[in-house]
Amino acid sequence: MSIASVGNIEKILERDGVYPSVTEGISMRPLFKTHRDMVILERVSGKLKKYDVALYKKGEKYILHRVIGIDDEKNVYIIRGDNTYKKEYVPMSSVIARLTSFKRKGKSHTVDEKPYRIYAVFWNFIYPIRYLFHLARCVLVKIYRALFKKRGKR
Amino acid sequence: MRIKKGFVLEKVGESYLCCATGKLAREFSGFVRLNETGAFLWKMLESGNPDVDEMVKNMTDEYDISEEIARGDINAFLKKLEENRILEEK
Repeated sequence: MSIASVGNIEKILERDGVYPSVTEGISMRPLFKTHRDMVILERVSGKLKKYDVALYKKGEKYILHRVIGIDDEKNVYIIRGDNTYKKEYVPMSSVIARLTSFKRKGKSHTVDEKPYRIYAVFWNFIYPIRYLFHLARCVLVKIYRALFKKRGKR
Repeated sequence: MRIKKGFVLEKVGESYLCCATGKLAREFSGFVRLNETGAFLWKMLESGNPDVDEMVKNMTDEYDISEEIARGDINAFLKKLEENRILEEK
């Protein structure tokens, strides 16, 4: 048995080739919820494919978002969280791991499973609709706040 | 004694990896890596509330080892779990 603490993800990936973690943040909802699910990340060998979920480092932070496009000329992945509305252009060299399996709501899944693949493609496909809903909600929240002057609360 | 609620065990290749979820994630970050035997003991401590004698018996039933070795291994395993505050009394 070995017990590892966080903060040395790269070292562990280098040594074991695999790194498990509990999920954090809202950017990959509805797939992952903070502290509910566990992800298994594997060291990247070769290039990621569209719809792969990549772990990359941005400053001191590790980010786990989905590849939605690949720019071979500039050597960057175009990445976006399942619950974010901004594209990230990530140099291929910054990607250190790839999601290979996960335990969601207590059930184990691999990224090769069909229902998961369908979710990934579908969720990206309906992005324009999700974006419109997102915009509409932002506008409504602004109107609501202006009308009722409820500030400081989000 | 038993494993605290919130630990999630997942088999990856030959080993078992374990993270803390839910409220426990705030107090335990990082992960535990177990081999086959470790996972066998872990599962026992997860589902039931065994004492050391029970664990020794289960282990010698499952694996071809002497009681003495099993007891030593189990005590070492429990000590490590306790040190990392993975166990709770109940």
